Amino acid sequence: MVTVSLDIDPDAARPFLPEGATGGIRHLVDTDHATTEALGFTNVPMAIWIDEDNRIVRGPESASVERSSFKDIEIDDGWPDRIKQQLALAKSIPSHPEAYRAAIVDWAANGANSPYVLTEAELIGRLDPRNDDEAKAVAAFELGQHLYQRAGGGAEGIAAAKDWWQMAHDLHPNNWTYKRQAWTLVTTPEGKASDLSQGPNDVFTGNWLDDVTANGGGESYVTDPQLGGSS
Amino acid sequence: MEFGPDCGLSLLHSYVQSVLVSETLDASDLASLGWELKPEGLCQDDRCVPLPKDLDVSGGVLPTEVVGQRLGMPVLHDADANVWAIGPEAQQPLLASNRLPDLTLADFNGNPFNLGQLQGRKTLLVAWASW
Repeated sequence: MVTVSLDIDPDAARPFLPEGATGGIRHLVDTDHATTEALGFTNVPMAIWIDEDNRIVRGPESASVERSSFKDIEIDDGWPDRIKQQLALAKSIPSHPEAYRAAIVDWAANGANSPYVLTEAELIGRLDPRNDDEAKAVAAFELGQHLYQRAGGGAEGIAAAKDWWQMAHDLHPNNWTYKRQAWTLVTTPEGKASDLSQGPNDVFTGNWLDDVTANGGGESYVTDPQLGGSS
Repeated sequence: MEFGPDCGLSLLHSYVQSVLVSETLDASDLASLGWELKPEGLCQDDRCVPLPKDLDVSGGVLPTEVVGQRLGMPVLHDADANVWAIGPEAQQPLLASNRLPDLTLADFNGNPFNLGQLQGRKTLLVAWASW
């Protein structure tokens, strides 16, 4: 197994890495989001399956292997409205952790004979071509990444990058890797753990609750694995 | 044989990341984009895209905007920082084949790792983030 962190700052991801032996899991970092461009990741967690011949046999698709803890939180009527709305939306995001985990196990055991392995045509057929706006979004995002890093990150980095990142958000509204990173960077106090609420801010026009709602809700937030087996 | 973006030839190209470039592109820049300047124009595998007839290509250096326009790649310029970015071709399949793109990432110690090194084992590659 290989994990790829899409954090622009590896230090933000480092606390989440397991200490000591990794059990054969290789942990990589992709500060430039090369994998989102090359492999089609539009959110996290997402995954691809790669066979022994370095052929992609599934994905990119949402890759939940555990039940989300959000689904078990009871919404308290006394909470602020936005908190209640955000939690309700998070609970509505579809996931199939048990089925996805079982599919992985099946593939591990059966390889190319697994019904979950896709042919090349099936794999490509599940992926829409990148349209003009989405192609432009890639360039805008990369410009922003470069300028952020060149400015040394932090407030200066955000100032240098924000207009290009906003352009990427506008051009590719369903690429949540662009948005979630940017929102977290501007709402997280310096030196603190990442703020996952990604709420309204005075830098970018969007935020998690309003953007997910506007872009089709929980179902549009993920790329369903479609675990019907080979179609 | 007629060449051009719609010539119908099959396209097999390796992954090319959106590239930060300058106002002009030289042979090295074009190679990083997966293209090569030939007498027929800009060529990739068995596909060639002609360049404007009045464009001087004798020095092997091409205007970034012209290349982007001919190849359907968006070009953006940050005037303050004087940095250019050229994006991927639009209207092309995200993956041209099921072959794993040639990608090199880094581990958390900064050591490079090429995904081609995964060959020989089934691999579940999972993208995640602290956010």
